[in-house]
Amino acid sequence: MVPATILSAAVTILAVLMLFYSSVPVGRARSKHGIAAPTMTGHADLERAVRVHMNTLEQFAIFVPLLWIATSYFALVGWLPAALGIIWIVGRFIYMQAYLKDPGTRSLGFSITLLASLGLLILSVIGVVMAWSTATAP
Amino acid sequence: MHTTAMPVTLVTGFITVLALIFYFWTGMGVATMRGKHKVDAPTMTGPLEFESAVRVQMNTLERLVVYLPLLWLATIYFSPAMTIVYLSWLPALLGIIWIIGRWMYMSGYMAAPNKRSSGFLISGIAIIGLLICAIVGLVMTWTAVSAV
Repeated sequence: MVPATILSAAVTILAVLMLFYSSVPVGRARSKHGIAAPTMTGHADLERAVRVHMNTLEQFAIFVPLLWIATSYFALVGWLPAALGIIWIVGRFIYMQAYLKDPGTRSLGFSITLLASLGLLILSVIGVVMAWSTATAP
Repeated sequence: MHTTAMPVTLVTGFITVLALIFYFWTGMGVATMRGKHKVDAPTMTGPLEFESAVRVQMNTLERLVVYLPLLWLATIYFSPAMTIVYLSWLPALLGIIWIIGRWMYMSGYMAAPNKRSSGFLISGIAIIGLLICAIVGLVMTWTAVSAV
């Protein structure tokens, strides 16, 4: 059995790649529509790409700490945090593809991401509480 | 005792979860204002209330990426180096003060943008405190390790 930390480390690398990948359409829209930095508005393609990138960063900042707190403390099912991490990445990918086509369709991917983060939040709280009971046991 | 199982580390883990929930809450503020003022994505400008919510979320994110690493560095290096038990809880205390300051910043900013400074200052002082703890902890740990 692969230790949970290795699984979560691999998922973290994938999530970092996903975050980087979400920035690619920004550069592409900039050159396609001739919008030079630092301008952040000017064409729907650019504005959607900017929002996808920014929202992915916003969610990434929640996801990574929760992934690691869950991995460090939730020992009942070691692979579960990493599995939720994969779901998060899939959700982010769906969000990105949908948002770039039509902002009105972004909720499915966003909800998948959110559920994955919520799952990690629950595992984190359970894990910390269990570790606390063990650490303070007489 | 392994570092991750120390009570101070567990409390910091819990504070991290609280800080992340708070940060998520600032994002919910933007979504609420989008609905209230009919500002469809990807538009990022509009009524003052909407733009204030956007700035609150963005500023909280900008500070979160500074706060979380410092909170954990302080917890891992400063707390175990303290012989006075009360001092080992300083990073956790500063971590809670940061969340309170951020909360004041959010409610102040949403009431009127010029009411954001006291919350901003409180969370700023908490970050400086965590920075000092992190540096002191790293130096003390380094000295202890290299003295062996």
